[in-house]
Amino acid sequence: MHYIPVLSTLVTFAFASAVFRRYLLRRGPHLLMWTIGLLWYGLGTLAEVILGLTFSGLVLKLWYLSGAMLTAAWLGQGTVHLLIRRRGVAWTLTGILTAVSLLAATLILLAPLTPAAASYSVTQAISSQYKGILTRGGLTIALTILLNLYGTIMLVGGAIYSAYIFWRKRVLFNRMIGNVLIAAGALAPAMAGSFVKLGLADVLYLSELVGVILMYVGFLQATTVPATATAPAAAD
Amino acid sequence: MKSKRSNPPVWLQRLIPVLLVLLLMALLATLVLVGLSVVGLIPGA
Repeated sequence: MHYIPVLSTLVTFAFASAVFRRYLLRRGPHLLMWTIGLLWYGLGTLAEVILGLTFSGLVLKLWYLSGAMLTAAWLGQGTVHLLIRRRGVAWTLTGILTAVSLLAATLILLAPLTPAAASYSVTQAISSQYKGILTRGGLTIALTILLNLYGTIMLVGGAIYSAYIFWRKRVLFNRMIGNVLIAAGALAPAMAGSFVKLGLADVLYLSELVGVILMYVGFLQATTVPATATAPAAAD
Repeated sequence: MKSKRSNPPVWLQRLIPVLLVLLLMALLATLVLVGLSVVGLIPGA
């Protein structure tokens, strides 16, 4: 039983709830996309909790689909809606992402498990075992890489860009700090994913917790109206 | 949109661009690692 994914799951669903409540108030589509991304994030860490107790092929597939394929892409899609104001572009990209997500889900649900599933150990991180259990074709691996590249560039790059704009204009200090924290938080699991590729699988759980806490604090910082502010800015 | 000019401490004003550059470098490093895995120089995704 790993305790870190339990904490990550609680923080992530609390974060998703906060973002969705803001969506109900403000109706920005970026908030809805971020909510979807955070639900994927939470489902991924929840799958880690379950896989720390027992093995289930379906939960393993859910873990891979949510954590490895869809979380970064949907979080990044929120930033696309926030930063790309040209009519139709963001929604077109959302349509493409939805289609790709459905394709990814189909590929993962149909992917066979290997006999190595029988020797699965609940004491080891799933990130160190999944490659031997889940059969992934070339298209699945290609989609995993593309979705993560897209999501990471959009989310982290967008947050860095927003923070830079606020810094250059010397305005909305809270949003500048919030975007720095969001960029750092989003990078944590993205970098850990790279460490997993290098064989450091145990780093993933901690990076997920650190990442979601940083992003949550960044979101709270960016959406808190300063006592001296006169009106909310566009980038919320 | 009316926006309020920020007045953060000087040290923080200097720290922010350093942090942004570090974050950008970390982002680029992550992308390079992904690229290396794509071309097979390190174990794949």
